[in-house]
Amino acid sequence: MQTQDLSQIEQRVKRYWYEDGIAELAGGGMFILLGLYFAIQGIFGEKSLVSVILQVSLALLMIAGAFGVRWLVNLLKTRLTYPRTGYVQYRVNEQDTKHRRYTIAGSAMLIAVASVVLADYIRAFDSMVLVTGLLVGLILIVLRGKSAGLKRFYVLGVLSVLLGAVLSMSGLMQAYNLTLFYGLSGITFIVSGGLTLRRYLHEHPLQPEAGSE
Amino acid sequence: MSDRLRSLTDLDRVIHEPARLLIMTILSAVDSADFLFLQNETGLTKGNLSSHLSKLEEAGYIEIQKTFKGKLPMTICRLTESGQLAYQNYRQQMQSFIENT
Repeated sequence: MQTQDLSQIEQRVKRYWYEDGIAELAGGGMFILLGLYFAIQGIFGEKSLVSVILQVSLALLMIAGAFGVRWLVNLLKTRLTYPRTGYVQYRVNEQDTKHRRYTIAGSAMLIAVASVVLADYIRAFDSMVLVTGLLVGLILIVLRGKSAGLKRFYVLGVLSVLLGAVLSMSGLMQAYNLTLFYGLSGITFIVSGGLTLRRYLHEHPLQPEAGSE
Repeated sequence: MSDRLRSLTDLDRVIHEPARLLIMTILSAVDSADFLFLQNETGLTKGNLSSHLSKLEEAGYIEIQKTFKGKLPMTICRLTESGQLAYQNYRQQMQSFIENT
């Protein structure tokens, strides 16, 4: 076995987390909730009481959402994935995580500055949805597509960037642009995750004697 | 004996066996994995996998823990510190052997 083969085995093990589509389904659900948040802002206006309450509780909602998603993903994996293809606990590489955080933070700053500069030139430009699309696309391509070696994340990343770019020129109110962005991205994630889960369940039927030794 | 041949004879025989090398590679990429996952990834039979895991455990390279995830019984395997070190050494030795050949 050559060292190149060993690296391929390591990458295959790392992408196991995404092979059942459950993480995408959960991410899609989170995006749809975010879309609803911006829809409410758009309907009631940014200065309405409902929007102010939502804005104040956004951080709380995000934290609760993140914990909820983690709980749901673990529950679904325990019921669907682990009995079929086994359980894996991933190691948290702090140095790697730090490096990724710096890369994303740096890229986000660059994109934010570039979009603000661009927005000064083009009035009809909605820089917020453009930045959001670029960031989501970047995360999907770099952190999911490249590191896990899964092609569908490249497609999802490119779609996010394109969606953000198209909506930034739509001339709609920012809240509606973000509603459309998160809503459509969420639906795309759910469709992609659903198809992946369907294929996974089809390819790995539950064996009666399945379970760990 | 040439240095190149000596580097081959110095290889860790416990890890050098292909099935055990596969197990060590999988476990080096994660914190821990269960028996079913290792069986799926290696394609080994239950008996064969058990035997290789026992040898790795005897060498002190992995630790095996019987537990439950919900109602699912699990045999969790993870590399020990000496296992990680032995695996890294093995890869370095192989890498330098390939480069010198």
